[in-house]
Amino acid sequence: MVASFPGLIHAVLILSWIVLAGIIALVAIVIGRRIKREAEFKTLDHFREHLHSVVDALANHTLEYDAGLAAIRALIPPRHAPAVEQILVEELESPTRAAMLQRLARDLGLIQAWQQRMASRNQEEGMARPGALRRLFGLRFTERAASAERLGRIRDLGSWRLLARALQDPHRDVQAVALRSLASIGEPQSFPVLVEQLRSIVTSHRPGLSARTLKAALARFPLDSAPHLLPLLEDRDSRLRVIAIEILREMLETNAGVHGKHVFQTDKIGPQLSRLALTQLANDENPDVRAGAADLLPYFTDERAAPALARLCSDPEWFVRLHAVRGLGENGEKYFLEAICARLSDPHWRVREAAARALARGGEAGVRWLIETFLTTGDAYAREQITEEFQTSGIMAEIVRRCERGAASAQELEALAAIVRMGKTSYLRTLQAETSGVNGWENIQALLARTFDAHA
Amino acid sequence: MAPFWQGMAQHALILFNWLTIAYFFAGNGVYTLLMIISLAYAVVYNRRLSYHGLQELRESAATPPVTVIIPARDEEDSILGAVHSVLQADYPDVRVVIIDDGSQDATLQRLVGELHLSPMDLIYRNSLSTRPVNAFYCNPDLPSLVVISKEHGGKADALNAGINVCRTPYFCTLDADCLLEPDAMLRLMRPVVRSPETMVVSGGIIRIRNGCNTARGRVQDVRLPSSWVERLQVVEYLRGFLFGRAGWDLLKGTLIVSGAMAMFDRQAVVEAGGFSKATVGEDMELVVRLYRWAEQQGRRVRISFTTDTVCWTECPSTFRMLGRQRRRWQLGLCQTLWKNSGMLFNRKYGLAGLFSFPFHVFVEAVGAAVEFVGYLIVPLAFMLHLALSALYIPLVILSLVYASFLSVGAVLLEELTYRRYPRRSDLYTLLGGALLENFGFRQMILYFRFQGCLQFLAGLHRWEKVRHTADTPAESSAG
Repeated sequence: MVASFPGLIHAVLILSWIVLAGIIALVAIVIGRRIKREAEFKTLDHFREHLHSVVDALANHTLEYDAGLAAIRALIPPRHAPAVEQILVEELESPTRAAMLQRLARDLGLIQAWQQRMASRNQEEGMARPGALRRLFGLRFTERAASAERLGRIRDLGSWRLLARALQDPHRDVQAVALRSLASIGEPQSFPVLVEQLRSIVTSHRPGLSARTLKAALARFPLDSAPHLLPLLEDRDSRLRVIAIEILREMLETNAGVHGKHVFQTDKIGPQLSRLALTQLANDENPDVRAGAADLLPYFTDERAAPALARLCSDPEWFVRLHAVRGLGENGEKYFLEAICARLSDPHWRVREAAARALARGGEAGVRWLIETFLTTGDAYAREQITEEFQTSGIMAEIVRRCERGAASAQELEALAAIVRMGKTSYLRTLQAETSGVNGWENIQALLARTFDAHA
Repeated sequence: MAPFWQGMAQHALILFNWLTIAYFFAGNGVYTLLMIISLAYAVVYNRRLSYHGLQELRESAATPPVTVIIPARDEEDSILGAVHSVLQADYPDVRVVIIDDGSQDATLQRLVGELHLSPMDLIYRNSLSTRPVNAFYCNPDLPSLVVISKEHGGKADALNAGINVCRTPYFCTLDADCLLEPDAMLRLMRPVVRSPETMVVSGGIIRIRNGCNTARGRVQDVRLPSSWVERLQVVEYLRGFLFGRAGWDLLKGTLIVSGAMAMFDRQAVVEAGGFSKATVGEDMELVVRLYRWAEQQGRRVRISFTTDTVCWTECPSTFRMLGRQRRRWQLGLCQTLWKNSGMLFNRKYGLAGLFSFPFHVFVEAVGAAVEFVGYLIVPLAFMLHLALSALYIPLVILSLVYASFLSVGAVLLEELTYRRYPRRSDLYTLLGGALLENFGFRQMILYFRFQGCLQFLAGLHRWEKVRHTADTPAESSAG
């Protein structure tokens, strides 16, 4: 059968030769490229080193600005332009030298070149000319995205409108990077534009940026922009309300990280927004919104915040109670520790776990409540949960140390004894082995010994 | 030989001949397509690196917390390296759960000693059923880490135990012999955060660390291993990850995400039933099952593969261990494909059902048997003096040359993009390996895979343990 197709054999052999030639070509490309890249990297390392010394000299004022600018211009090698730009940006983004470096970027023509590339105009004038490969594969979007990234890193305020327009770019990469750069620049006028963009993405389901990406970008803006979230927080669409709450919470969290928790002034987010968060959102018909409100409220120093959280601790939905318990623990209002205690007997284990954790982190008062509840509750699940928290949070180790010093309270000793009776002695055995018996600790040791003997 | 039987044999061989030719062109055609796609993908990806935005993810309060789950059985030499690599991970909120799956060596003792852990009586909630848990070990000064000691139940069982104590929306699996790249979790999380669709699994490139210098859970100096068994596996991994899985990702047909390190959506995994204990390829089985779960739920989900290196693993250093590993992989593949055969040519699963699943069935699973038998047919044809034998030799030559072409293509892809082997001598060795692996090594792998197919047909379900005795120094507490 095959013998009647001798051409087939020849075809296979010819194909083999062609493939063999292909292998030789690939090997040559691999080796050639490695040699070329090594030479390129050497040039770039040399450039980086010199640029660094010039920028340092400019920052230390040991070199005149114009002389420095001329020196950098003279340094730029004719090839490898995109890599050179990358090195320049890395050098330029030091926050302590921001103003001088922004000026350098402008005078070197970088900002203009990036803006032009972003607008896809006059590409040949940019420092990085698009290569044949990139033209072939239509990779200009990568140049637009890279330019948007650099404008963001240099925080060029004047580019925000261009970046906002880039949100309509046909390529998702450019949209995402432009969004990130807008957040880096933090121009207040761009915030409402992004809010509208978010609304359109959530409500229209059109393909493009993810809501999570937009949310992350909006959350990076300064807290002063938060009042622009008001239309979203009042929107009839609960998804928008949930996302807006998450953005606000992340803004508050970032702000708290910078300025310390609970020190932000309510006037930063405006009275209207504060009122909305404290009243309307905590009573929203949608449980996700209420859960979000529970995450927000710990950041409010307003006296209405803790009672609102305490109310949410009794919400019919378990995850709202979970967030409320966590929030109340964060809030630090000792008066409301009782509300957390009540959740130690919650039907959902995640809420019980969160309540025990919140109390353990609630300082001395929280730990006292935890011990008291442990000794008085008839709920076996609550006792198990508290025992777990005693061990993992270090409370048990602390009590044992106090026993050793003879400083443990009667309640604490009673709690240890109760844990022994429950048979939860693994950690106690370890602690016992590490300590010497004195004072009240002897009682525990005796108790432990009896229990262990009984078990044995 | 009687003329009747000779005629029958000749007809059978002719039929097999056409089957082999069809297999050759279909298989290599798809591989070539994947290589071209991956080449384009890698070029674009490389350009994208200049604006990847990992910093934003690192600093954002919106980046979800992740639990790393490390199942371990008899991993006393490597477990500490894996744990240290996770504890040093560059990620805003990472928790660690290590499951000692009934080790008979000092795995647990090493963990307890190094991390100053104490036994604790914690609550274990069995949302996914597992073998009983014996003890929990924690250190109040390391609140984000917990070690679970449980009865031996296999890797899937250990992973399920880890999921049971995981409280974060995403979890990462990590093999105990792997070292995490410092920003691996950020890289895996990036597509999850960026995707407008729900990303249920995110995987990346696994590289071989045999021969590399490592210390305190980090790969310090990337080098090729000294033995050819390991070097040829490096070439194999490059081919498999760089243009195999990258290509499937672009076609939205990813079926295999290496469980050595991958990120999963916890809720989706729990709803889909967790890792299956019924197969030895629990990672692939779960990925395929997640497609089916999503289809049943009417949800649009995505499984992503990123071409960034996420972790470094130890490969077998002897043919015996290599054989165990490959038999297990092939058995797991066959079991998974058989169990989920409803996906075959099923439009409901998109390209994954129409293209990727059939490719894995006919080329990766059945193809291994066809190719292996093909090698046996050549001498048989000669012995029978069949006219067809004239075609076999050119075909075998073409298949070997083409396989070398694909392997060299993988090395080119590595050189165009990641260049993880900085020494020029290593590059030459890789090229040599790409040419050599098809002469002996590939056939040996094929033999192991064929054995895996036979194990599947025999209904075997056995996890063959691979022990590592590579030239990578074992991680120790002293680093």
